[in-house]
Amino acid sequence: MYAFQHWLEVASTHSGCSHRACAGGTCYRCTSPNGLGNVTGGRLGSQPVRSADVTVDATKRGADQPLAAIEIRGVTKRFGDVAALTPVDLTIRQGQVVTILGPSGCGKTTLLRIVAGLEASTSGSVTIDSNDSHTARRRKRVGFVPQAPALLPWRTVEANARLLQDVNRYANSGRLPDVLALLERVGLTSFRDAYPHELSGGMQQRVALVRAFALGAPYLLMDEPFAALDEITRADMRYLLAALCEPLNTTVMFVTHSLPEAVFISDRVVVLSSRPGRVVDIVDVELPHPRLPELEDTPEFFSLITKLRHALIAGAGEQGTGNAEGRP
Amino acid sequence: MKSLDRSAAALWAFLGAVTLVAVWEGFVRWRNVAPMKLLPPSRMVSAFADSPSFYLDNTWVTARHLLVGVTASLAVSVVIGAALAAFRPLEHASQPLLVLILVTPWVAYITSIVLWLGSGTPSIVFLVAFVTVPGWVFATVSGMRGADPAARELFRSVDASRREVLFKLRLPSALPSIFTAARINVGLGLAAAYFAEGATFTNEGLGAWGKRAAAQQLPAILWTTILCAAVLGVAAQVLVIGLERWLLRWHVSQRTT
Repeated sequence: MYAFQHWLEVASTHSGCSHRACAGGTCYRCTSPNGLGNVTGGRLGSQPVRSADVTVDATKRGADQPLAAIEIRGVTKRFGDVAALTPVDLTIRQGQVVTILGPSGCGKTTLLRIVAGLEASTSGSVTIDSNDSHTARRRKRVGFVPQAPALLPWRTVEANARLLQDVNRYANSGRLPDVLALLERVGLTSFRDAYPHELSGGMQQRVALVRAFALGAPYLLMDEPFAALDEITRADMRYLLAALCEPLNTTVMFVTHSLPEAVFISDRVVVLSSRPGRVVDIVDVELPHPRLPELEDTPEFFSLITKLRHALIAGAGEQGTGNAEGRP
Repeated sequence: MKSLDRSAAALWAFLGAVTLVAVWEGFVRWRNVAPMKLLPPSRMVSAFADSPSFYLDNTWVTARHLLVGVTASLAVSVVIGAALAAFRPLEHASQPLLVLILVTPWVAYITSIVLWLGSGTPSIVFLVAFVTVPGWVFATVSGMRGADPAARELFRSVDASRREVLFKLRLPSALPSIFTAARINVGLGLAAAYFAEGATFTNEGLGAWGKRAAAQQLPAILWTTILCAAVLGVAAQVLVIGLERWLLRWHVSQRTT
């Protein structure tokens, strides 16, 4: 916790909140959503701050949303003779954070890449906002966060954060989020002119998050973005991600191996079986919003982790028919 | 600390150069080596001091041939390299030609070049460009292919155009290998320029005067043109290293930590 606490201590205190734990934006330790005031323009700026989304009443974010944001229907994937996914059906509603959990090699990343339009499915369909995933990609409706930060070493922190705004400019929404405000929210203002090699792993991953949020896309697809980080930094990152997502009503599809990560940030956790991956369980995470670090010490949190562990073990026991050399 | 390290490195380089010159001078005088075989450095310096403008003018001519040839070659090679990096069949198809350029002795085809392009500058610049193309192309292709796969995926995720991927990702990724090729190509291009100046019936350039001096048994001129070519090569290397340090300050090869 030291790194997270240290970061909170050095972060500036915003005007509407007495906590020191406010990084110039949404406070992690209170329900004040004033951080959006610092993030001007575009989707971030124009998004109405709905306090219901960030108070304790909003235990089921997205559950009241009638619109299916991401629809996955009968998606399968084969790599040659290897079946990676058997038919997967899943609906993600607007504003929900849905985590895909499963044993190694079960097809989590493959499913995410199919949704992102980076991989073609063998059969089935994916729609995002009623469009196919390739159209969503062309329109920059989806922010993709890969496992590695994938920062360009010749670009400074600020230039890296602007990267996705700088390419395919025609598809940019009218007003884009303010990159400097986002950097301030993640505590990297003083590093805006630094190069990636001058940052720690956690800081690099924060830049990758800012880069995705700077796109102003309503959907985020995240492929184990914190997998390479140490446990303390990893915890910091999930607190940060939750704090960034909640006030924006961002729809997130998140792939992870980590049970605490899945429970902390998610509204629903989808458990996949061993390869070929199929949905074996969907667990609703009915924990209060906003998600604060203290939540991880509650019995409800542990209870959900236990439930997911059992689902995961049960799913891992269900061996599929794919051979052992398949792609994860 | 860093500046102290650099000062120490410069001091050692200077001591090495002084030792080399001293050993060279001493060896030639002690063994009484024939001037055409090896001239002592002191005689080269005095030959240069006798007519500095002659040597400086011809050094400038050779430098121009080198610069124009290498720059033209780089520009063409980056375009070729980008195309080859994008289409693997094209890369395979181009391999025989590139390897042929790399291994064929210049002396074998310089006459053909002169017959095609005439004597003087066009033939010299062409040879410099021609022999440096494979190095640039191989470096560009391998550098562009080595672009971070995760970053490539990131560009795909927002439907970046080929042009954007080329200029914002692949070309910067290829810079380190292009600079490695530059260090080799500067030396190769200088050798080609010196050789071509002597073989294309021109009166300008260090190579032209070097060849004439060799034919007429004028060791002072021959060895002083060699000295000038060597100094030009060192200056070009320093320029490349300086550019590399500035443009690749982000790259692991240029970092001390």
